[in-house]
Amino acid sequence: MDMYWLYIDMPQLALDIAQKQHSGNLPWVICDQQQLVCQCNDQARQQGIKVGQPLHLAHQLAEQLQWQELDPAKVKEQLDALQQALLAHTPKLAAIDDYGILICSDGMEQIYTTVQQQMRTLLNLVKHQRIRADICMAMSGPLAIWLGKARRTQPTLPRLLLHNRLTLPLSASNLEAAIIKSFAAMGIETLEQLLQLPRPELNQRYGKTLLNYIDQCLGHQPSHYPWQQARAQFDKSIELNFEISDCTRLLAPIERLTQALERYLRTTQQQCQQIQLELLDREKHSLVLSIASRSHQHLSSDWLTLIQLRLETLRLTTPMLTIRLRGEQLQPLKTPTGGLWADASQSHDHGQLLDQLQQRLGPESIFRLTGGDTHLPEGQTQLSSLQSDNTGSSHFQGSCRTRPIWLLEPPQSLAQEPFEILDSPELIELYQEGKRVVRCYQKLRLRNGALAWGFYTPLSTPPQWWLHGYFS
Amino acid sequence: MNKPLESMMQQQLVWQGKHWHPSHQALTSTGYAQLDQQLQDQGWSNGSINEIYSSSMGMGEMQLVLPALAHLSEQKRWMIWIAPPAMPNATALQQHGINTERVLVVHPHNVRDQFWAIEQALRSGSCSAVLGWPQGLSGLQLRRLKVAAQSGDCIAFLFRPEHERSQASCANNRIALQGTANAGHFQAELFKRDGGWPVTLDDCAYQKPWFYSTH
Repeated sequence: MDMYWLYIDMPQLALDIAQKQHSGNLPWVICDQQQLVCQCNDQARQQGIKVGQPLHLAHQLAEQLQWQELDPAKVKEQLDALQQALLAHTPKLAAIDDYGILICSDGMEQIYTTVQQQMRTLLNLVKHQRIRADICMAMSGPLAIWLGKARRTQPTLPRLLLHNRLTLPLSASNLEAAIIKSFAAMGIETLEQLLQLPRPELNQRYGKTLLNYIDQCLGHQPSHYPWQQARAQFDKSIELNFEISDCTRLLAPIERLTQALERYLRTTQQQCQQIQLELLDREKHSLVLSIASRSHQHLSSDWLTLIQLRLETLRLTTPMLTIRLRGEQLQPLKTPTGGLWADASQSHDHGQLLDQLQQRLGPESIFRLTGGDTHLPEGQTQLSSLQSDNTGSSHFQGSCRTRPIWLLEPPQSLAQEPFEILDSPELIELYQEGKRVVRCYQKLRLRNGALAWGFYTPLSTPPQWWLHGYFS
Repeated sequence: MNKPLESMMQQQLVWQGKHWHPSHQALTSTGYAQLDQQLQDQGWSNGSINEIYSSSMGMGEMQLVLPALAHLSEQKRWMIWIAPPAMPNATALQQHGINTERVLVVHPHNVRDQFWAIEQALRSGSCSAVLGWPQGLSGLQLRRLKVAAQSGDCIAFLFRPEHERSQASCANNRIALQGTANAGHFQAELFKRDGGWPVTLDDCAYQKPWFYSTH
């Protein structure tokens, strides 16, 4: 089959958004700035409310009428979110006005075996978000949109419009109302009838615009649409059907999100190094958990393991109703490359252990040993967080004397502790923040037999002995 | 077989000689030839649990493991120190030939997390050695650590307080250290080992850097 076009029509999108936030079977209308009804649900229609009626009349017809003014920003936001969700399943789509999404089949023939399968997948995805929608197919973009609009009033029209089935009403086309009215006066009401008219006369009477539109519908001229780009960041949320206060019960919905993340990363050929999990309660107070990985992850199971470790130590103070997952630090997927004789120990993913330790114990609990540029023994070794940028130095200050394995922070007074001096003093003298520091280090033996490292401060008043480490 | 012994064997509280199989894995010396001869693999075995008991810091408890750490730090795996009692001195470790880039220090917030971290590190296969200072380990927990060490092909050194040595343990080797009258020396009592009777090494000197410093 040649390239085909799908159109998802959502004429009641504003109404669906409003109704999603309010449960119940009440009559609902959306009105425009002139307070005229522009969308209404079945319950409102049953009570005699019609599109175009003034709002005050609708109120008289239905006592329990619920209404909202059309909010184009909210509709656009929902449409954007919907497009992002659809982009995980189809790569080329564009928003049409504020109530439709046009999808080009380009590149999808290899993924969906039939057109019907693709239509079913996309329609289910939209309906899953509680939005009423219709989907149809034609051999050009304008024709698919035309068919979608026509099916609003004539639901018996086929969903799939193939060649030579051009009985579409002109009233549903994108032609100007005056032109449609003019054709109607001549008894021409369908595309099929319009195509039988001579082109030169049409050009002479209605201008080039009409012919261009017809050619685009027939696929003889290309159509241009603002194709939507997939966001560089994964962002998806789930609203739970009931509140959850036990962290372990959050795992099932979170798994759905990590699976969506995996699908997104696979579709966009990316990998991810950090995710942000946001839990929101009924009052929209949020708890944000940032989960980082040292390696680039793209599998749902890897992320879920790290999330599980974090949730094991988390206590929720309020029940949660919404879960939001964002993928950050996305990078193009790299295929691991290795030599034929790659070392087996190098191929092992040591980062996984660090990820797990960091999630369970917190990143502030895991350290590397780094060196400091000072002659003071306590400054020569530092514990640096794995997260910190302080890579420090792995070369430490050398000394001809043996240093103790353990250092005490801070040094402890030996004023009350008897000890025996085992060797000659080693003088360490320097200026620290403008002050002269003099320490005489010696090996000591404490009363319990422990080998220790202590120093004497001759400049302090009175001079004192301090225990600074142990030779273990 | 009498009933109490049979019951203890069912609970795996008695080490049986049939589990003794000299391995052909790479050996890791303790740095003390006398002690190496007493150990099952002529040194610390991969996948083994080794307990070192001392009454306080400064009794020579690290001397038994420093040569092994220097050897293991040549691998591309981590050496993780979990809940150490003080700050490890990187300069001293380098003096003993240890590559400190392979060293990670972990400070869990509670006893439960200490055990969890030791078990995960042992099991992961990402560590060549795990040095732990756990508190109040039970027999069941030790058995779990032993299985984890075997599956991760990792050596575990557990530094435990002297007063816990009376508790039963499934560790492969259990050594108690005491200071001697001679400064820079210690006594090592290997009071439990796989495949042999207890032995005591009376006068173990500190590792070589100590001698260099006492010129």
